[in-house]
Amino acid sequence: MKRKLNRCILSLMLLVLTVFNSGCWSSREVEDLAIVTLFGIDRITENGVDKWQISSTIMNPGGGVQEGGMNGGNGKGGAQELLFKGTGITLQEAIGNFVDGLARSPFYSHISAVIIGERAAKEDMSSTINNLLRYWENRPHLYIIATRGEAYRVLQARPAISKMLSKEIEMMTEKTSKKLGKSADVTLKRLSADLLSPDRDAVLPQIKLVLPKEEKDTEEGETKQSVLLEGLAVFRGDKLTGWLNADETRGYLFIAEKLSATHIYLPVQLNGQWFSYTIGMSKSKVKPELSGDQLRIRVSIETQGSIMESGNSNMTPEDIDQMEIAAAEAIQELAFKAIDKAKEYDADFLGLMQKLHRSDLTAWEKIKPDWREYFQNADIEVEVKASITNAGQIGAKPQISK
Amino acid sequence: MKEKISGTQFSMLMFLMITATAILFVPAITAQQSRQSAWIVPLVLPTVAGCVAAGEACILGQRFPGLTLVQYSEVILGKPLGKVFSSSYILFLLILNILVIRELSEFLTIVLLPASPAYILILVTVLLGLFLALKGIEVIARMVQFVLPLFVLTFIFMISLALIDFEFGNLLPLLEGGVMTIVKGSVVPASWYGEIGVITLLLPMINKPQEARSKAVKALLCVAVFLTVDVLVTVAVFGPDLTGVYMFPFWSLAGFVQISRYIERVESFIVLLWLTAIILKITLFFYLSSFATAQLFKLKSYQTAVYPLALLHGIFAIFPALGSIELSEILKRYWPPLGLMFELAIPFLLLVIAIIRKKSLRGGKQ
Repeated sequence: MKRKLNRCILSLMLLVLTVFNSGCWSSREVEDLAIVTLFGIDRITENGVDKWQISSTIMNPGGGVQEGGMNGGNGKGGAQELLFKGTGITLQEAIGNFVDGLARSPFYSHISAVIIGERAAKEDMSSTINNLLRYWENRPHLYIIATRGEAYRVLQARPAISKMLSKEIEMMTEKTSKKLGKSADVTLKRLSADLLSPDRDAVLPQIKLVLPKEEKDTEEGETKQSVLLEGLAVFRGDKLTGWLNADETRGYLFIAEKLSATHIYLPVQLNGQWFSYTIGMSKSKVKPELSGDQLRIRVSIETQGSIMESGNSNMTPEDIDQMEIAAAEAIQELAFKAIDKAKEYDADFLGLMQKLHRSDLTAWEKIKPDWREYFQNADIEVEVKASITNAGQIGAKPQISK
Repeated sequence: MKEKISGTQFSMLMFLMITATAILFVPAITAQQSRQSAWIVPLVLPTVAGCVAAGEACILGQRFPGLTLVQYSEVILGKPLGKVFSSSYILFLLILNILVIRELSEFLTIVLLPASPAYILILVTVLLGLFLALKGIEVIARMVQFVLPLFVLTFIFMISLALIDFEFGNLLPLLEGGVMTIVKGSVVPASWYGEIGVITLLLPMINKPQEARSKAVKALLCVAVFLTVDVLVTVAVFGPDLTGVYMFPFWSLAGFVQISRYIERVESFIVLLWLTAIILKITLFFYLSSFATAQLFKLKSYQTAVYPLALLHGIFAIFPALGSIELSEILKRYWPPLGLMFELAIPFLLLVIAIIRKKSLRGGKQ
């Protein structure tokens, strides 16, 4: 009997313990959280003092539902995400200043993307990376994006199709921009690994403000801009050094990344007529070779794609061969654009020297102190094999009677 | 000795004891020294060090069957010197355990419970260790039998998720900077593998002591494979630079892995199992140090020694004002020589003295 009582008391104590032990001192209830969804980092000058500016959107659960209900609610007061900002001498002070306007405790584990403004990327990338890696709520899978001008402006944009801007940016990064050959997806892990490594430079996707595709004026009559992920930001060492346009970005993607299940629409000219080569997958091989003091790098790109718009080609096997050659030349041209840009910026964001480091250690040891010079003088060849594997539902070009 | 554990339980105990600490820390520490070749480190030299430590302990144990280090050191060195030696060994166990407790509280405060005061976490750990140590080695061994499969399964789950992001290029070029970087990187893991030297205390509790040596070697080989996979995958996913930067790379790896949006944020599994494993390790050292203390002071039961030792653990884990940076500096720089001294050098010295002085309890001699 006494034993039974003891057991009862013990189990009761355990039950009581669970009440106090959920998260210990650090426990936070979900309704007290301000869930940060986007995070912008800027450098600004305020009264002559260089400062950090943090801007961030915070999820406003129920905001859209109350006002707009089922109709999508982007009406006023019903915003799904609220924008806050703060400034400070250090990044942490700026974060503290943005937080003090909130009655809730900020929660950073669900950030969709961190957007870095141009000045911040040019002036102090190492502080930014240091902060992002150090803070425990940040995960290595965080997407990082760069923008021309201030990140704050990007966070003011209006989503074009999603309810939340953060969701839209996340979907663009993860699903569409790389698939369409517009940009790359870079996580905190990849960015910091590239920045830390001694043999290459980093890139970040670029986010732009554009006028929305769908013209939907807000009640005030002003059109808010929406966002687009296009192009890349190039770093040299820890500083942003320049940007890549759409063509150069595609060149980068073909050389440096493995693409699969993409829909990159490449217009190609053959005999004065345009046809469209839709690239579905692409892979590349880089073979660096050091002979004496001359570095030769051979890049071979292999793509597979389909033709859904054949121009005036008749699509006979001979025509296909010709089209493949023309497509290969077009891709080669893009690749050279990226390579020229890399030499112009003196930044090996293509990872070519990293390949040398990994494949030929003795050569790397030799050129290590001035590898940038070797890259600048490297003789880079690009060889493209573009194959057409699919031409849609019909064979030869249908002849429409005149 | 009343309580007995089986050979399998013993090797499981040894496996969990070594991997519990190493799984989180070993990728960073090895990657800082040996960069992309870090995965070779846990495979070779530390395993040799562990085997030597286990071998010495077993040979000593066979010369004095049924006796622990505390008892036979008095036979070998004489009573006063033996007592001094045993006390220093107990002190070594105590420091080791305090460092492990600090690792636990440090990990929790850094990544999970930033607002919770460390002393509460330490207090809870020490109380739990106290409770479990009172139950004896049999209970500890059975808990290990239960926890170990879960621990290994979680690890395999995490690693197979991480294989999606496995980049072979991150492991190249092999052996950059020469073999010396591997040797340098091996020192810290060697001191962890060397913890298997506690066989000197555990041997009389194994029901078939003659099996101990082969079981220990098996446990060490499993540890080597386990940690090699740990380092290999972490470095292949993060690259050597980032692995060296993170304080708990395996934890960050678990935070990184995801399959689309369906499986993500799986690191909580790690907390659950790592905590259980590390608490078992703490308990084991708790038990061993109280057991040794009881033999040193010829106490009737080791339980009497558990309480004061718990107090010591609590005090010395809470009060030294060390931050996490200092702690990892201690673990990297000052702990390995101390650990290797007590794990390898001192048992070896004892063995040599025993051979020279022809001290042995085997076959009715003496």
